[in-house]
Amino acid sequence: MKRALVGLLAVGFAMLSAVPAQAASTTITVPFKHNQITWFTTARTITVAGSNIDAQVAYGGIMQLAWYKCGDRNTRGAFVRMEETRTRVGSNFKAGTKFCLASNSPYTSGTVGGTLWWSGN
Amino acid sequence: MERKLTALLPISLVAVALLAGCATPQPQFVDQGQYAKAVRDSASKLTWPDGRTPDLDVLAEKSGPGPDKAPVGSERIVLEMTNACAWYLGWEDARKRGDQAAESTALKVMDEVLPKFSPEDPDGQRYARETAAKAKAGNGSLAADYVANNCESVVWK
Repeated sequence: MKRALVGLLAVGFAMLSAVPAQAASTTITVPFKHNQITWFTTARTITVAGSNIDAQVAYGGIMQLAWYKCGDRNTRGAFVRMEETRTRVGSNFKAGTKFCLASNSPYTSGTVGGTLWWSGN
Repeated sequence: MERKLTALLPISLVAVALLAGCATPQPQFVDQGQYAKAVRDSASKLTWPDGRTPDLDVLAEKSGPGPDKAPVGSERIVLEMTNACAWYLGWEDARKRGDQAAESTALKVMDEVLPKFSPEDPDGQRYARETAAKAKAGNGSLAADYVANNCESVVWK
């Protein structure tokens, strides 16, 4: 029994250790405007090659997010409708890339909270 | 009953505190004209290596909100990123022409200035520190990655 417990603990530790050391996430508060893009310039850096950008918000279906290169808003992803579940905003970014977010809404203006994931995700 | 009320009090205090936290002021926004002026005004506060001064009109056009809006102060991040592009490229320029003084100046900026940019992006600061450390050892791979992924739209004067 004791040996089994030690084994389980070892597996659990290995699983925790397997999480990428540089995984990054944060809570976000995103203002959005009706039929108008808001370009935010809080830059975030991808440190793990091949990372994705995901997000989820507290109230789904009311607003959209897109990633863009902070220095060039013409280099960007498509707007993605944000949901209360984790939703992909962009994929397979190269290490060293700095990205920013843009918001809009086809329905209304407001502010919504949520979570953003990037490097190592 | 009294015990229940006592137990609920901290929860209600937390709820009030959270609601108060939500009442933070909304960000102020600027249009393209105001943004372009902010870019011009702020660029002069940074130092740029020889031959790597950005065309600020192009930079403001590409990074600004266009017909939309951007938060006040947005120009800072864009100028810091562009300044990092300038110094990484300036360092490589200096290495190629064998200009040790310019190379040393660039390395000093890469080591002491660039990692302090964007405190809201700790990953970016770590990347800048690692880039400087590698560059000091003669390895320009992280600087090259940064340039390849963030600097292609900058037009240099």
